[in-house]
Amino acid sequence: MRRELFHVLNIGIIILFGLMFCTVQSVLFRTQLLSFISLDLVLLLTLFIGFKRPIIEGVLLVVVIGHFAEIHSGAPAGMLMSCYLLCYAATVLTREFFLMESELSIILLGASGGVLWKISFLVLAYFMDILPNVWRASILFLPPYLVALGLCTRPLFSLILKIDRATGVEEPSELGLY
Amino acid sequence: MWNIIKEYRHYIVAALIIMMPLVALNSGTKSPAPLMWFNKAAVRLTAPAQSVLTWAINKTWESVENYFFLLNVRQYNVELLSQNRKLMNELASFREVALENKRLRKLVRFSRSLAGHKITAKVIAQDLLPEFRTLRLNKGDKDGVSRGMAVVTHEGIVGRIIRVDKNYSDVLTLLDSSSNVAGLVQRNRTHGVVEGYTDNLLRMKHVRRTDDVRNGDDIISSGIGTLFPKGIVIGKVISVHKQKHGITQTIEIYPSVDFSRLEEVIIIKPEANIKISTAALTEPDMNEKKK
Repeated sequence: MRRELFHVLNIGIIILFGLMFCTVQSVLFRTQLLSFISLDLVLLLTLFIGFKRPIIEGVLLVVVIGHFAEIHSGAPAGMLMSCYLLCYAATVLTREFFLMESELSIILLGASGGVLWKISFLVLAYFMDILPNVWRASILFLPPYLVALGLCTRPLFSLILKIDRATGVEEPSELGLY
Repeated sequence: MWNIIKEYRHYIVAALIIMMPLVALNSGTKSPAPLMWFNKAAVRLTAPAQSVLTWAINKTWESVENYFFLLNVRQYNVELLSQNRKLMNELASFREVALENKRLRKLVRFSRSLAGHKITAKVIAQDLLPEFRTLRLNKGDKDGVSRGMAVVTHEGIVGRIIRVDKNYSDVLTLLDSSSNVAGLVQRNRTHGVVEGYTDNLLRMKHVRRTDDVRNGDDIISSGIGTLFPKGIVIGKVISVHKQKHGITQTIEIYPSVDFSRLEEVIIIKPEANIKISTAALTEPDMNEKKK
């Protein structure tokens, strides 16, 4: 019973993290000084969920967090959620097929997640007929965006993992770095 | 007698030596006698050494004195720096208040020129992603904001309300791709539809190819659709694209509103009877006039 309660608490914390990341992203990383970084903390959280959570729980979490992202953005409904879900699915596949034991693999996971997110976003933008308006900003911010994602993946994963350990959540995969 | 002298010779010599200065004092020569050669030699030897020693002592003393003095100066400097920082902070906040005051005065002057229901709001956040251009305002349903209301500033049109919460609302800015506003070239009254194009440009479409539109022309809201009052500035034409064939031309516009620095806005109800005085947009501030 206690374990289940802690698990629910952990889910609540992850959702709160999603909200907090949306807030930080829309305020701090949109200031003139930091706007060029355009760090996507929500994507990193999605990648973590894909990396460390059972599939059903992970999908539900990504749907909730993707929805939070959408209510903090002017993106067409469903667009961001689709991109985040795609990145989540790709991470699940990655964790099934690849052994991620090094720091570099985690950094690469963050950066490649960023590339996949941008590609899926631009493809959806093309089909939604908003590509001419968004591709410029996407490409312009891509290099600092990927660097920031790569650098922040490891510290963020460690932070959330500490919470996982504190709340006694069992890790679904034994393959991971930690 | 000789034996006595021999016995007390030490005392006698000592007494004579003691008396020698007394003799010199009693001689009556007040002015110093010129130095003899051996005195000169001695002086030439000792003077440089004296000089070096004096310099060394002076320097040492000076250093010690300076050290203790600097200790005080350092402390004094720390106090001054702290005071300076405090004053700079106060100055910055006063400057911020002054700038806010200036902005709000412009906004109020502009607001007076608008009829109907107006709500002043602050921008509290931007879009989550750089690809989209929405803003979050600190006024919502509770303050009378509803979906579809127009958002403007003294610089021009900002956008329209797309989402409303109890205390917050989201604005779809003109820069966003899904934003459309009926526009008008102020010089020759050519109509078109203005929409978001890139992260800092707008595009006017559905303009007849034969219409004369030039770089630098002002684009204002046409008032069609009653969402935005007629005559509010949208931006300036920066380029005109005419294809070899076709019946329309596309115009690129630089928006008059600096969306990256937007802090306060006015939300207005889409009422048909809203009128705007263009003089209010150009009339300089009374205080600025005085300056």
